Amino acid sequence: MNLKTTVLPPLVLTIICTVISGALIFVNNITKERVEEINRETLNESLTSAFGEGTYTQTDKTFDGVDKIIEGEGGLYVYEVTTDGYNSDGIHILVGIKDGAVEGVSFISCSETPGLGTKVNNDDYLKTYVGLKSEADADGVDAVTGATFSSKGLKAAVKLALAADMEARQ
Amino acid sequence: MSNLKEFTKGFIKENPTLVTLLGMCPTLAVTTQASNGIGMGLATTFVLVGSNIVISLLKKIIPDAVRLPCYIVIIAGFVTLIEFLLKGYVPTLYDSLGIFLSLITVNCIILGRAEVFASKNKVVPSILDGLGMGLGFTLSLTLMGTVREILGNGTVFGFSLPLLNESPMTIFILPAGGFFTLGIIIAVVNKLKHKKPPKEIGCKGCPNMASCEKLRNGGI
Amino acid sequence: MAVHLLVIMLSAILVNNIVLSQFMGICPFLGVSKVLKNCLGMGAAVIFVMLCATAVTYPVYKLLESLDIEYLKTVAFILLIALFVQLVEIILKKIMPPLYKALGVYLPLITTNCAVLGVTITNIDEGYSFLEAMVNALGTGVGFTVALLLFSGVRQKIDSSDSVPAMFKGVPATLVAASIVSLSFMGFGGLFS
Repeated sequence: MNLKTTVLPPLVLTIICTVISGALIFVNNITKERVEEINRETLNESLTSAFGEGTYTQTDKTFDGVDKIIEGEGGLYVYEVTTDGYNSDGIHILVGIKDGAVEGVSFISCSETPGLGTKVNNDDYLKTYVGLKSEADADGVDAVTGATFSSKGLKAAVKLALAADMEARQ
Repeated sequence: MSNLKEFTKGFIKENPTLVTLLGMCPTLAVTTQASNGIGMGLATTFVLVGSNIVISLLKKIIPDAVRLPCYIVIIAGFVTLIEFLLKGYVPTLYDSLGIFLSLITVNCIILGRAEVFASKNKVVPSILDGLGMGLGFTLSLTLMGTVREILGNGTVFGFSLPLLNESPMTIFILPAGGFFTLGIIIAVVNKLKHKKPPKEIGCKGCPNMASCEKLRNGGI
Repeated sequence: MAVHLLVIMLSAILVNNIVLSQFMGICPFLGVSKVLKNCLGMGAAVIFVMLCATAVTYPVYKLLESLDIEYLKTVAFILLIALFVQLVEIILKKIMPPLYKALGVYLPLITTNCAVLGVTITNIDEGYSFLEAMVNALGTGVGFTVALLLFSGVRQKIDSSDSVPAMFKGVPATLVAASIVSLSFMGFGGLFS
């Protein structure tokens, strides 16, 4: 039995794996808070730029497919929704709904094909959703040429928010 | 002097993407925008330098039999580290690189440099080698990204260009345009260097080389 | 359920073809596609490898998740895949020498083919169940084979052609041809919605 060829290789590999895993766990603990803070900041920024300054509090309500339900001021509810466009989870938006009607739609991130799918992230197009009251209304919104999948994903996200709002107000 | 050579050889003479044709997957996949090209290039450089340092330090300790798994684990460790850093400090880049960030682990440039260079050389040359190769990779990725962004989206680093942005040729930022742009760039580089284009893609340092070679030459 | 699995399978083969629209596994795609008869062997090996890799990594991810260290997945997956290949090689060599002779040459490809690591990570990112993950792995492998077979036909024409300009001979011409094949696969976009 030669120790050098039988025991040493697996031992070295195990040590290297342990050291690396340990180091990564350590680094993760340092960066974890930073990541959470970044997520909170982006959410807050998107909320303020889309629906104005104000206090936003996350409610503990849930709805299947909706990431977060946030309560704003004056009866405004904001729904954070992520849906598939052309890429999976390509559409990540906030839908603000006040008194049952869409108040505004705003992107947190749009990881779709640049120049095609990203065309849905356009203020004029997003405005066509404002004022809609039901899922049937949303069906009537036209898709953007060249961004069929992203438009579908966006529509699905708005419909989810409307459905969630319907349930929340009951 | 020789150290300087280790550093600069990756820029043009042995440019990993355009001359030795390594690391094709990220070159094609993430270069839809110039900024993504730079980001991917720098992330790869970080991993390359880090793994080169560690592997060069451990070259006497790692037994030959478990060489590959050890290298891979070290590389994957650095990849996960850069994932944490990007997630925490440059979240937009983290989102746009997506799965290709994790796939830096299997980029043959990195494993290739570990096998060919870092496992045989001292720390300082290994750092310079990693830095040079990484920056050469960044350079070609940025070039790809810029060309594709200008033609496919009419912008460069996000700034609109007059005329071009009116009706950009979107095909260039789609997968088909990636293959096309890379083909053209390699052809032009070879024309400028007065060299014949390479017949095959690069396999130096790729652990699959033996298998591929056999298949290429008529199989088993 | 069956329809759902079929959609995952067909999307992986046609719409999100691993080589032509996801850009993974470019090295073997460009390297091995020259000889038609090798493409099938290579394809079969990749399918086998993807299925095994998924079967091995999926439970491990669940374990990592329960320990709250799922961020170690890249390290764990690549190590598992690398070790698994060596294991299969040793076992095949001892127990089934004929099979080893036939498959052995392809097996090392499992380790550093980004398509293999890619498919295991995609399965996790998409939140697939174990069954869906296996179907996706199968579809991805089949998609790789289809792309390889199609492209080897195109490639034989180009390699034997005299009308390719000198500066494009070799890899540049291959890449431009790949671009046209990729363009044709774009036609499958929108097949399922």
